[in-house]
Amino acid sequence: MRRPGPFLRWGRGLACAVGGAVLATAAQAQFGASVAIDSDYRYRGVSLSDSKPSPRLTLNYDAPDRWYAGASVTRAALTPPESYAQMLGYAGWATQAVDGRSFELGIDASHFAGIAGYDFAEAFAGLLAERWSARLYYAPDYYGRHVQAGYAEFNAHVPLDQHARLFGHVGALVPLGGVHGDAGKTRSDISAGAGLALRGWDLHLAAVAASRGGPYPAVYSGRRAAIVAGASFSF
Amino acid sequence: MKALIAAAVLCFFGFAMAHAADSTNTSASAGAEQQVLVLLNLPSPHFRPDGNYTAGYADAAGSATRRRLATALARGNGLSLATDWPMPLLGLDCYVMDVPAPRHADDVAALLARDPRVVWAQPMNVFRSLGHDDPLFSLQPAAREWHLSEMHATATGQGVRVAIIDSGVQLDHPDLAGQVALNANFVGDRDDPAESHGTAVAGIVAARADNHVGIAGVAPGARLFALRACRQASPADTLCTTLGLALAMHMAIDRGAQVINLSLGGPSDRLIQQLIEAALARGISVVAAADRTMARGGFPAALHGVVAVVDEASGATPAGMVAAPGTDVPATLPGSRWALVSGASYAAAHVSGLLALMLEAQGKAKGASGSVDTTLVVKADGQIDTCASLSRAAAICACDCAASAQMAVSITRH
Repeated sequence: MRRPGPFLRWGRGLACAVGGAVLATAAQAQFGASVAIDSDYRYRGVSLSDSKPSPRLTLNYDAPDRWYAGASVTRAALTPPESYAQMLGYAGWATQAVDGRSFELGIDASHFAGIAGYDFAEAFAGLLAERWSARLYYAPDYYGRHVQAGYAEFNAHVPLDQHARLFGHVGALVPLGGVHGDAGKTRSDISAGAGLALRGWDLHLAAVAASRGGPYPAVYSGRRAAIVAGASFSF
Repeated sequence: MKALIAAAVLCFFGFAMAHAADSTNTSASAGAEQQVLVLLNLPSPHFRPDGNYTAGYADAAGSATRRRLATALARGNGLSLATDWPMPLLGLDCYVMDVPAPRHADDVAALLARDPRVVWAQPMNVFRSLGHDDPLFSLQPAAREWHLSEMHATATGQGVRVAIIDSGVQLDHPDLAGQVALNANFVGDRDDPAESHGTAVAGIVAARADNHVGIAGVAPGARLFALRACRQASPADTLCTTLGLALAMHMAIDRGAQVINLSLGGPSDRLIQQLIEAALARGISVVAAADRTMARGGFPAALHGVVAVVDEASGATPAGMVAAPGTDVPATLPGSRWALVSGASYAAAHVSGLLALMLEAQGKAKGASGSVDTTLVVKADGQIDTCASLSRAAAICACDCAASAQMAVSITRH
C-alpha cells in the first residue's frame, strides 16, 4: 500500500487543527475573507505565475482562544504555459501579546490541483510585534522535490499615517542537507514598497528581487526582480 | 501587465490623495452621554498567506472583519457607528456607537453586552478634573514644605517620562517650552488647544527651573507626554470621556511613560481600569487625584496600586491616601501666564513630579537594570515625607534626613 505523502500526512494534521479551531467557542470568533489581485504572484522572490497577474481568494478564522485557521486559492503556473489552482491551508496558535510582542506556532500546506507532485507542507514559528514579524519555516519535502528546506524571513512596516505605510521584507531559503549545484545554494529575497489601507481596500506597490539558485522553484531563467502592484478587498 | 501596473500606480496615488480628506471623527466628548463603547476581540497578529510582501495588510483584513461585525451590531441595535480604535495592549478593538435619543446609553450597553460576539460593552463615561483655577499669585508651597531646592540637588527627574493625561497644554509657555517630548490630541475638537487645567498640571510637574520666570516644577528635568484626553468645557470645568482617556492611556503605555498623572475622577470604568492595570503590570507608576466625597477616593484613585492623592489643606488624610500641596499653588496657565490654582488635581501633580525625582535618583543608585521601587514614605498625618522618600530611592541622604527619619512612621508601597 502506498504510504501517504507529506501533503496528506500534514494535511490531516492541518484538517484536525482547522476543525478544532472552528469547533472552538463560536462566541467572539471572527471570520473574514478577502479577494485580491497581484500583477505578479511572487513567492519568496520567485514568480509562481509566469510573471502574469494572479487572483487570490483568502478565508480566515480567528477563535477567541487565539487559535486561527484559513485557506486561500491562487492561480499558479509552475509549468508554464499551463496554470493550476494552488490551494493553501494554514492553522496555528498565537500567544496573547505581552509588551506588544507575541509568539506563534503553525503549519501550512499547499496543494496544486492537477500537479499534486508539487504539493508540500511546512511548519513555522514566529515572533511578532506591532510593526515587525520574524518567522522560521521548515519544509520536509519542499515542493515535492525530495529536498528539505528552511526559510527565515523578517517583515517590517512603518505607518506613515492612519492609512498609509511603508514596508520591507528580507528572506533566505536554505536547502538542508545533500543538495548540490545551483539547487543547493541559499536563495535570498528582498522587497520594499508602500501600501494604503482604507475602508476594506488595500493597495500596495513593491519592488521584489531574489538571488539566483536555491531549491525549486528557482530563479534560473525568470526575471529576478520585478515591480509588483496589487489590490485587495476584505469583507 | 505593464498597463496593469501603471493603472495600479495611478490608482494608488489617487487613493492616497482621496484618503487625505478622509478623517475619522475622534471627537467623542460632545454628546458623550449618548454613546456606548463596544469592545471586540482583537486577535494577536499571525501568519497570513498574503502577508509576505504586503506587511500590514493582515491588519487591514482583520480590521475589515471587525468593522463588518461592528456595523452589523450597530444596525441590529438601531445605533450608528462613530469611530473605532484598536488597543493591542489589551487585545481589544474599541468601537464607539451613537445612541439615538430617547434611549439611554446604560440600557443599550447592557443589551450589547449580552451579545456573544461582544467581549463587553459599556456607556461612555464622563470624568471631571478635581481642581479650581483662581487667578492669584503667591509662593509655591512645595518650595517650603517639600524642600524642593534641596531635593533638586539630588535629582530633577532628568529624562523621566511623565504622561499628563489631561486637557491641552500650552507648549510654548515660557515655563514649559522644550519640556514636552510628546504631544497628542485625542479629543479632536480643535487643533493644539492650550487649556487651563492641563497647562497648570504640566507646570507643577515639570516647569523649567532657573529660567528667570515663573515657577520651578517639582521635576524640571522630566520629559512630559502632553496627552489631551479632556476638554475645557468652562473655565472651572474640564471634562473627559472614556474614549479619550483610554486612547491617551494606551499611548502613554505604548510610548514608555514611567509615570502617568490622572488629575481627574469619575464613575468606575472597566476599560480605563484594564489600561491602568496594564500600566501597573509594566511597572509604570499611576497617580490619581482622590475625591474626598467618594469611597476610597473614587475612581480611578481607589484602584489597587494607584497612588491616591488629596489636597493636604482640605482636611485629614483618609486611610490609604497620601496628602500633598493642593491649595493656592502657583501654576502655569495659557496665555503665558501664571496664577494660583487649588484642588486635588494639583496635589496629584506634585506627587507625579516627586515620583519622577525618585525614579531618576533610583536609576543613579541602581543603574538602568535595577528594579523599579517607588515606595513613598508617609508621615502619621498622611503627608508624604518627600526627603525620606527621595533618600530611600537615592540610597543617600537627599535632604533634612534627621527630621525625616523621626517623622516617618509608615511606608506605603505602591
